[in-house]
Amino acid sequence: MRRLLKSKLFIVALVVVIILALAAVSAREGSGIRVIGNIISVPIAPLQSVISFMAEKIGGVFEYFRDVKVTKAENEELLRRITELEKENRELERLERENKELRDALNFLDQMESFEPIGCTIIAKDPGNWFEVFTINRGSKDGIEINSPVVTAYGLVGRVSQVDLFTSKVTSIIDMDSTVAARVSRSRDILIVRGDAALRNSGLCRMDYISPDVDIMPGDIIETSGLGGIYPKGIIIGQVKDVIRNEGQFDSYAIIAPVVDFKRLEEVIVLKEKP
Amino acid sequence: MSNEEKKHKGLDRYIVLAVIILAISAIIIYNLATIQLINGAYYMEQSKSRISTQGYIYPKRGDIFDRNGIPIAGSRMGYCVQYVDVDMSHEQKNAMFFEFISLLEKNGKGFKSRLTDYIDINPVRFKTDNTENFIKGIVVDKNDAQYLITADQVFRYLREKTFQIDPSYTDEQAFKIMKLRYEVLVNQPSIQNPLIIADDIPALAMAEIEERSSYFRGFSTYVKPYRVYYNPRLVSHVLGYVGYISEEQYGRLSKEYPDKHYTKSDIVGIMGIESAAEPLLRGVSGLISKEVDENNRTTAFTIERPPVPGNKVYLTIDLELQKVALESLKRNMEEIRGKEHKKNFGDADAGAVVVMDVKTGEILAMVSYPDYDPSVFLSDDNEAKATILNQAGNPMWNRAAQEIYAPGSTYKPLVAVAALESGTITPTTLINCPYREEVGGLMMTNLEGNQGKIALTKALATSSNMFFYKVGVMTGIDNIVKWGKEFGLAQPTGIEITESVGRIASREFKKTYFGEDWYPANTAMAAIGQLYNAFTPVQITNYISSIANGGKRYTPHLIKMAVSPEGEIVYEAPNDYYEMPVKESTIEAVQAGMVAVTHRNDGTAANVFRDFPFTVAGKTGTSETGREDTESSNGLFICYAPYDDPQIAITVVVEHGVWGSWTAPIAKDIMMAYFRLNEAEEEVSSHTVEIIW
Repeated sequence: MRRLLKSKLFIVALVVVIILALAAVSAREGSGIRVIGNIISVPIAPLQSVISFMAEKIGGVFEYFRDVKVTKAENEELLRRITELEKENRELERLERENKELRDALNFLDQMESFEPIGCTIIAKDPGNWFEVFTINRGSKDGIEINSPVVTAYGLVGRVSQVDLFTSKVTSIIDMDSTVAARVSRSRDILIVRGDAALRNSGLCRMDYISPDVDIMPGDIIETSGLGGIYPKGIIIGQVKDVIRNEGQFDSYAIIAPVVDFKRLEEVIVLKEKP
Repeated sequence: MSNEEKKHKGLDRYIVLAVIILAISAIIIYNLATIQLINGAYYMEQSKSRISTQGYIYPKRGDIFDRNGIPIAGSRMGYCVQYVDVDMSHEQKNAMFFEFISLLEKNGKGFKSRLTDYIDINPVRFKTDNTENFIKGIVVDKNDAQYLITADQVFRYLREKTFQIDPSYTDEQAFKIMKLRYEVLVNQPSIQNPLIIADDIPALAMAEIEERSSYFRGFSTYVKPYRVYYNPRLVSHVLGYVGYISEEQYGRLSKEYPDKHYTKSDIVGIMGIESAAEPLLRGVSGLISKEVDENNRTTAFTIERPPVPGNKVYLTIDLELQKVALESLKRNMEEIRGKEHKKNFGDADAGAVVVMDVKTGEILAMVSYPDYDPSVFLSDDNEAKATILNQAGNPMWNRAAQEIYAPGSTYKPLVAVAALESGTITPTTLINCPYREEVGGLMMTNLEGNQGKIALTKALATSSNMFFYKVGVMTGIDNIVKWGKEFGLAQPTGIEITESVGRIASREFKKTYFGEDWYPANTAMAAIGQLYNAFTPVQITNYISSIANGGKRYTPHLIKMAVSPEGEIVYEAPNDYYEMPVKESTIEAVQAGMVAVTHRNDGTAANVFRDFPFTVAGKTGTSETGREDTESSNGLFICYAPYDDPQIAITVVVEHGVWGSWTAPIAKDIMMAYFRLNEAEEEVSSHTVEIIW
C-alpha cells in the first residue's frame, strides 16, 4: 500500500480521478461548490484556453479538408470579402472619427470618471463563430462584479454575467440574453437593443420599440441611454444598418451593426465601479 | 515467489491500472469531443429551452381628423409588462417582486390586484363578508382553512405561510408583495397565458425592466398603440371615447365582423364617433408565432398574419368653427348670467349649438356644454373618471343630440307651413290678434299686446302668440303633426351617434301617455311649441335646414369619409335627401317671415343683426320649463344664412338663457367666423384659431 502511494503513476491517476469527479460535481450551476469551482478554475484556466484554442483549430482543420470545391469557392468568396472589408475598413475609420467626435460631445470621459477600467484578456469562449459568451482572465479578486459593463476602445461589448475568483464570464450584446436600453445619439427616445436568434449569426443585434414618430435612418449612431441601471450613458453600441417596418405594424425595429467586431475580440475593458 | 517476480507482478498491476485509466480517459475524451466539438453549437442551443407560442399584434386604430385634416385622434406607442411564473425560491421571488413594485412606484405607476377586494391593511380587515372561497384559495394545506377566522390571522398566514415573506419587510411592504403574488397565485400565469401586470408604463420603467432582464426573471415587456386625443375638449361629445371591450361587445363585434379578429383584451369605441365609426376605425389584429425562452422573452418570431391599421376617418366638423361656437356659447352664457332682468335667475349654465350645411346635411359644428375631457377615459385614473361621471350638469350628456328641448316659438315656422299647405291661410290672410281672446275654449293672452289685424310675416317677426294660437286651432293638430313628421321632428334623424327621438304634441301622444282625449286648447299650446313638444337641437337644425333649402330633408351626419391606410376612399357619406311635398310659395312665405325676425324693426332679433352685411333668416324661441318662479326659461335661436343662397343652418339652445333673443349673438359669432366676416376688419392671423397639434 505504501508503495502504491509512493508510485508516481498512481498519484497521477488519483489526481485525474479527483479532478474529474470534482468537475462533475461543480458543473451543476448554482451548486454550493462554486468555491471548488474557483479552486479548479485556477489551475484549469490556462489549460481551458489551450483546449478551447485547440478545439477550434482541430475543428477548423476538419472543415478545411472537407471539400476542395467548397474551399475554392470559399477562396473566391474571401477575395470578394477582402474588397468588401477594405471598404468596410474605410467606413470604420470614418465611424471611428465620428465616434471620437461624439464621445467628445457627450463628455464621455466625465461619464466614465466613476469607473475604473480593468484590461482583460479573453481566455475561452463558448462554441460558435462569434464571441457571444466568453471567459476573461479577471475575476472577483480584481473587483469585477456581476453586471459590470464591458467595453473596448470602440464601444460596448456587453456585461459580466458570472464571476469567479480569477475569471469571469461576459455576455455580449449579440447574445440572446442581452438587453440594452439604448437611444439614437441625436434624439432622446428610449429604444431596446437585444440579441436576436437569427441576427447574432451575422454578428448583429436587433433594436426594438421604434415608435412611428421616432426619426431614425440607416447610419444613425446608437448608444447606451444610461437609464436601464446597468450600462452608463453614452457608450457607443453601433450603427443602424436597416430599419424594418413590418407591414401594418405600429412599431418597427432596426438592425444594428455593433461597432465592436465580435468575430475578432482579444482584449476587453471591464468598467469597475469606483467605491 | 522471488523478489524479481514480485516486482514483475506489481508492475503488471500498474499496467492494468494504467490501461483502465487510459481506456476510461479515452472514452471521456471521445464523449467530450462529441459534445464540445462536433455537436457543441447544437447542444448550446438545446440547453436554452425554447417554447413556441402565439400572440396578437394589436392593430393601430384609425386616426380621426376634422373636415380640413386637423387631427383629433391618433395613436402613440405605450409599454406594457407581463409576467410568467418561473421556478424560484420564495425569498428570491419576494425580493424580485418588491424591487419590481418599487420600480413601478418610482415611476408613478401602480398595479391592480384582486387581493384588495378581500383584505385591506391599516387596519387589517376583510373587505367582504364572503371570505370562504378566498381563504380556500390561499391555504397551503386545505386543513388550515378552519383555523383562519380573523382578518389578522389571514394576513399573518398569507405573509408567513402562503408567500413566506421575510420578517425584514414591514407589513406595508409585505402587503405590496402579497398583492402581486396573489395575482400570480390566482392567475397561474404561463407562457400561453401571461399575466399583464402593468399597462402603459413610462419608458424609464420599461428601460430598467429590460436592461435588468437577467434579474427580473419571468418579466417581459411589449408595446402596443394607445389612443391619443388632440384638442379633446373641443369635440368631447362628438368624439366620445374608447375603453376595454366588454363581454357583450366582444360577442357582438366578433360575430358581426369576424374578419377583424377581435380579441378579449381589445380597446373599442364606447361613445360618440369612436363608437359609431368602430367598424371603420378598427383595424385587423395580426397574429405572430413566437419562440420564447422560459422568461417569455421572444427569441425568434414569424408574422403569421400582418395586422392591418384602421381607416382614417374625416369628420364633417370644422374644428375652427367648433371652437368659435364653444367659446361664444361659454362667453354669452356668462354675459346672460350677468344681465339684469326680473326673469333672470343668473342660472344660464348649459347649452348646445348645432351648425349644419343645408346643401349636404353635414354637421359643421356640434357643441354641448358642460364639456369634458374624453382623454381621461384613456387613462386608468378612475378617480378622474368618477368625477366626470358624477359631476353636476352631467357633462357627458350630449345636449346637441341626446337632450330634448321644448322648441317654443322656433316651432312657429312649422305651424306656418302646415297652415299654408292645408290652405287654412294664405301669406296675406289677416288675423285679428287682440291682447286677450278665448281660443279653443280657453282664455289666451297675447304677450305682444293688442296687435290688431296682422299677416304671417309680422306674426313671425314679432313671434305673435295670439296669431299662432288661432291659426294653429284653425289648421288642426293633425296637420301640424303631419308636417312636423315631414320635417323629421320627433323621429330618429339617422345621425351616426346616439340621439334621442324626442316627442311631438299629438293626439296619439296624449292618448298613449295620459290616456286623455285631445282638446282644441291643446292645439293652441302645441302651436307655440309648448305642451309635449320636445326635440333635439339636431332635429331642430335639420328642420330649419329644410326650410332654408326648399324642402329637402338630408340625413344629418358627422362622418365625411374614411380613407384606407393605402389612401383609398372606403366610405363616403351619401348625399341623398328626401324631398317633401311642400309648395314653393309656402317656403317663400315662411322664409320671408324669418327674414323679418332679424330685419324688421319690430323683429325679435333685429338689434342683434342690425349691422350685419347680409340677410339672415332667423327665429327666436323662449320655452317655458314650468319652473319659472325659481328658474329662467330656456332660450333658443334658429337661423340660416344667407337668405338668398342658404349655406348653413344654426340652432342655439341655452338652458336658462332667459330669452331666445339673448342667445342670438352666439349664432352671429358663428356666421361671422363661417363667412369670414371679421377678416375684413381684423388681421387674418388674429382670427385664425390656435389649434394645439
